[in-house]
Amino acid sequence: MNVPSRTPIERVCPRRNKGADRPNPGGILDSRGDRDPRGEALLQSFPVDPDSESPVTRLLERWVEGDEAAGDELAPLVYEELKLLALGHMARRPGERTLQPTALVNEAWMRLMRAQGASFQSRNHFYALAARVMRSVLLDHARRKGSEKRGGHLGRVSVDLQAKAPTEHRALDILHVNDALERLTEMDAELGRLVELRFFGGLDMESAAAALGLSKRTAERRWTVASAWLQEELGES
Amino acid sequence: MDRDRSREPSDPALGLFEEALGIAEEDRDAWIDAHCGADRALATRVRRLLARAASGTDLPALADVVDLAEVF
Repeated sequence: MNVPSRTPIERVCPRRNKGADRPNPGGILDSRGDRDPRGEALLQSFPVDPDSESPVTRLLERWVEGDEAAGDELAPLVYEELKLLALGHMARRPGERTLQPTALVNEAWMRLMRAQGASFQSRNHFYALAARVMRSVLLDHARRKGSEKRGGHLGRVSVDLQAKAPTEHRALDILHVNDALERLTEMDAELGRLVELRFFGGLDMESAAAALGLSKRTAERRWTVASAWLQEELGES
Repeated sequence: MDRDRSREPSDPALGLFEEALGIAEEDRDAWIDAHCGADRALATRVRRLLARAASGTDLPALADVVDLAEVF
C-alpha cells in the first residue's frame, strides 16, 4: 500500500470522505454510537485462522522489525478503529470535550484483540502503531486547517502549554512539535519513539517503557531529557 | 549560537545534558566546564536544559491541549 504519490500522512491514514469528519456521518453509528460497518468490514478483512498466529499479530511483529509495508497495511484498520471510537464517544457524550488518547488506544486494542485474536504480547507493538497513526491524524488535521485558512496563522492546531508556573503559559503548536520531534528522532531514535508513545499515544510511563523494552526508571530519565529538550526547542520557536 | 546549534542534525548539548543529569548537583558546574571547554554557548545551553528539567515542567498531555473528537 505504499503509493509514492501520497504524502506520508495519506499513506498511513488514507483521505477521509468529505463530510465524514463530523459526529455520526451518514448515520453509520447506532444509537449507542458504537457500530461502524466500515470498521467491522476492515476488522473482517483480516481473517482469523484459529490454527495459526493472528494476522494482526504477524503484521505488528513485522512492522516492529522494520517492515514499513506491514505498518501501512495495518494503519487503515487502526485509524478506522480510533475514529470509530472517537465518534462513538462523541455520540454518547455530546457535551464532553475531553477525549483521552489513552482510552482510545486501549479500547481499539481490546476490540482488535477480541475480533482478531491478536496476542497479548503484541499489545505494545499495537500501541506504538496507534501512536504513529494518532500523530499522522493530528498533523493531517493541522495541515488541512492550514490550507483552509490560506495564509492566515497557517492553521496550526495551537494549544495551551500549561506550565506549573502561570507565567509560563504559552501556545503549543502541533506542527512545531512534529518538526522538533523529527529533529530529536534524528539524533536519538529512542527518545523520538518515547515522545511519540507518551505524547501522541497517551501511554503512561510504564506502558511506554514496556513498549520500548526499557525499565521504568530508564524511561523516566529519558523522558526528562526529551521533554526538557523539546520545551527548549518549542520555547524558542 | 545556541539556536543554530539546535537546528543542526546533531545537538551536542543533548548528550551532555543527559550525562549531566547523572552527576551530583554540587559537581555539575565543574563537570560542565570540563566537558564544554571553551564553548561557553554549549555550556549555557546544557545549564539551561538542566534548569528546565529541574523546574519540573513537562510537556502537556495531548488530551489537555487538543480536542481529539474534533480532530477525528
